[in-house]
Amino acid sequence: MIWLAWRQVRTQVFLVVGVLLAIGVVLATTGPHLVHIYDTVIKPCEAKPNCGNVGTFSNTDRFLQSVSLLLLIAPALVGMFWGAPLVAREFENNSHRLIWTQSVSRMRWLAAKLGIGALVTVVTVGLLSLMTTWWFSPIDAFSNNSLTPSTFDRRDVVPVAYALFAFALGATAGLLLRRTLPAMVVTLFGFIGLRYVVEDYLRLHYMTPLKISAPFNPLNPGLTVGRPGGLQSSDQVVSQETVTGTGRVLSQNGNIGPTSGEVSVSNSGTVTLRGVGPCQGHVNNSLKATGRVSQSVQQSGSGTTHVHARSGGAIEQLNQIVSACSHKYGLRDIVTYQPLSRYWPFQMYESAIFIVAGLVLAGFSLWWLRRRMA
Amino acid sequence: MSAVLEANGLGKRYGRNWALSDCTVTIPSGHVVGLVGPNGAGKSTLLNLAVGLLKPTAGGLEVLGGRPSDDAAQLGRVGFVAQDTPTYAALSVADHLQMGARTNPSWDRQLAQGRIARLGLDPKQKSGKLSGGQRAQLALTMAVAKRPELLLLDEPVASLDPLARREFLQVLMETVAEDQVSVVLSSHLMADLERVCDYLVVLVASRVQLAGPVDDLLASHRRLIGPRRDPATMPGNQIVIESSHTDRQSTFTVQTDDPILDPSWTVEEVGLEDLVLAYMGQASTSARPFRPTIGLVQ
Amino acid sequence: MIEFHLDTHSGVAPYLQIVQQVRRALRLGLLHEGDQLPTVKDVVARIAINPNTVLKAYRELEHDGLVSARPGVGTFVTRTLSDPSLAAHGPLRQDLQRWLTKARLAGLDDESIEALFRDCFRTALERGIA
Repeated sequence: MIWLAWRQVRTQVFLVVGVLLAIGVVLATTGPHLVHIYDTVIKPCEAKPNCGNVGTFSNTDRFLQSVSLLLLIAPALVGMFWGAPLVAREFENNSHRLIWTQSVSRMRWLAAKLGIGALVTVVTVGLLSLMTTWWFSPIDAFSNNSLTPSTFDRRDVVPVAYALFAFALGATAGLLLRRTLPAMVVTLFGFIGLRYVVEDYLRLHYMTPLKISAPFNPLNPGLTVGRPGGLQSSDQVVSQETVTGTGRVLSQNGNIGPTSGEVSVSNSGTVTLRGVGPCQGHVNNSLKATGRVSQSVQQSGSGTTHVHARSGGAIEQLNQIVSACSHKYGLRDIVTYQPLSRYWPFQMYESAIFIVAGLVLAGFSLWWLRRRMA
Repeated sequence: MSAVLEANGLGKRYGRNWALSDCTVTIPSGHVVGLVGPNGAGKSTLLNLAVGLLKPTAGGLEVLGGRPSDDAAQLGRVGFVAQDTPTYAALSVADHLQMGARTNPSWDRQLAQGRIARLGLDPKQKSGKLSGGQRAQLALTMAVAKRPELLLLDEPVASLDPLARREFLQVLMETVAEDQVSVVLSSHLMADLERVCDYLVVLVASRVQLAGPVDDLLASHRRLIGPRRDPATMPGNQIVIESSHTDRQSTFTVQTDDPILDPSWTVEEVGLEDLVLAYMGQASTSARPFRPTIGLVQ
Repeated sequence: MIEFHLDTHSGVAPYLQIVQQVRRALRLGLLHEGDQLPTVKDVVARIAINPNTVLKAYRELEHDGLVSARPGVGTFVTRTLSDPSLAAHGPLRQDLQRWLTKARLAGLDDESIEALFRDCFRTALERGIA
C-alpha cells in the first residue's frame, strides 16, 4: 500500500522538487551577493546617521518578494492541491471501488496515503523554508524583526507545521465531502481561519509577555523605540496602555492629547482629564481655532529622540496644561511585549499547535472511515 | 451445496429512498449467476453491499459464509469489478499489476502477466489510454489474479462494443472453466446473460422477483395461447405471471410444475428474455410485492 | 479438432446444439474413433457460453455411448454413428415425402406444416426425456 501511495504522488513530487531546485539554484547564486551587499553597504551604513532603510532595499527586490510570498502560500497550496484531492479524487474517479476491494483494510490505505503525503510535505516545504531562511538571514540579522507576523510565519519550522495541518485538513475535507472542489474551498477557509486565530490571538501569549513602563509624555505619546525604558526595535509589542497613578487604564493606544476623547475643554476654558480629574490652567478660547503645532523628530546615532516643537496658539497652551496635568496624576505608559529572544520557543509552540491540530484531524479521518464502512 | 451469497431481508436506504428493500435470496456456489433487472432496480447496490463497499441499512448479508467487511482475508476471497471498470488512469498496466501483487497476499503473478500478454496489452501503456474493452479486461485480470472463490461483476460490459463484450465474456467463461470460480454478473443485456448464465436472479423495483437455475425456470414456465379467459378462472396449479387479452384471445405466461392438459391451449416454451420481461412487467403493475413460489432447487 | 458455434435464435437449447454438432461431425466423418473433443475451456473461450452447458452436452454424448471422458486428459470419441441408420434414411425420406404431400393436399401451408411437425417432435422429445 505504501508503494501505491508513493506511486500516485510520484510525478507531482518530482515536479515540485524540480521547481524547488531551480529556485535553489537562483538563491545559491544570489545569496552570496546579498551577503556581500550586507558587508559592504549595510553594515557600514549602520554606523552613519543618514543610513536609510534596509527595508526599502528588500521591498523593491521582486525576486525576494516572490520567494517570501511563495513560502507564505505554500502551505495553503499543499492543503488544496495535495490534501483535498487525496481522497476526494478517488471518489470522483470511482477508483475507491478498485482499491477498497483489494485485500487491504481501508484504514491501512488511508494511513499510507496520509503518511506518504505528510513525508512529502515535510521534505518539500522544509526545503523551501530552509532555502528562504538561509537567503534572508543577512536581512533578518540586520532588521531584527523576526517576531513580526510577516517574517515569523515565513521562516524556519512553522511553514512546515502549517503545511502539515493544511494537508490533514484537505484530506479530511476530501474524505467527508467526497468532492475535490468543495474540499479545496473548505481547506482554504479553514486554514486561513486557524492561521488568523493563532496569529492574532494566541501567538503573543505563548509565554507571559514582559512589561516596561515610563512616565507619559503627551508630546511623544506611547513608548517607542529608543526611549529610555529599554524597548527595542526587535521587540514585538502586544499592547500599549496609559494608566493613571492608581492603575486605572486610561487609553489603549498611548495617545492622550487635544484630539483624543480623554481630554475635555469646557466653554470657560477649563481643562479636564476625563475620568481622572481637573487640570490646572486655562485655555484662552479665543485662540482655540488657530494654531498649529509642528514637530520634527530626529533620530540621533545613540537612538534617542529629540523633539523640537514650534509653538503656535491654543493647541500649544493645551499641550502644556495636559503635560503638567499628567505629571500631577502620575500617568504612565505601560507596554507589554515579547522579546526577540523568545523567537525559537515561539516557533516551537506555534508548530506544535498546528501539528497537533493536523494529527487530530488525521486521527478523526481514520476513525470516521473505519466507522462508516465496517 | 454451499451458498456464495445469502441475503435475509436485506435493505439499503439513501435518505428516504430505498435502493434495495426486503431482499431475501440464497445464491448457491458453482454457478454463473445473472443478476438482471431494469436500471435503478438495486443490482449495483446488492453487489456493492456484497463486497463491503456499502453498509446495509436493514437485514443481514453473508458472502462465502462471512460478513462483508474490509477484512483482508474476506476481501481476498471475493473479486470485484465495479460499473464502468474504474482504474487509475495515470498508472500503467504494469503498475496496476504491481498494485495487485502488493495489496493481495494471494496474488498469482504468473497468471496475471500471462493474461496480459495473451490479451496483447502493452504493460507500459497508461490505463487511461486503453480502450473500454481493454480496460475491462485489465479490471477482470485484477479481480481474477488473486484467485478468488467468488467474482462479482457490476455491469462490466454495458458500455462496450459487441466485439469487446464477446471477448470479455470469452475470457470470463474460460476463467470459470479453469478455476471453478462462482460468478455473479449483473446486466440488463439479456442476450449476454442467456449465453453464460445458468442461474438467474431477477431484481425489479429493489425487490427480488424471481430466483433459480435457468433450466428449472425455463422448464416450469409456459406461454398459453387460447380463447379469451379471465385469469382468475385458471387452475390453482398454474400461476399467472402475465396476461394480455384481445376481444377473442388471451395469452398467459404461467408458472406450473404440472403438464398442461387442456387441449384448448396452444402451449409454447417461454424464452429467458420473455420470462424476465414477464416478471418485470408484473412487478411494476402489482400493488404488493410478488413472492416467488419457486424454491431453491438444490 | 472440430469447432462449435451457437445459434441463439434457433430455439434449440445450447447444450443440445453442441450434441447435434458432434453427432453431425460423426456422421459426416469429420470425427473418428479416438479423436479428442475440444476441452471445455477451449470451447467456452471460443464461444462464450457457460462451461456447464458443454459439460452437460459431453455427458449426454457419453450417456449415448459416443464419447468417453478420461479424467485429467480429455473427452475422446469411442464410436462413430452407426451406419445402419444411413440405410434407414431412404425409406424414412419417402415416408416423409408422402406425409408432406398429404399435408399439402389437406390445405396446410408451410408454417402450419412446420408448426405441426415441431409440436409433435417436441412432445415426443419431452416424453422421451422424462
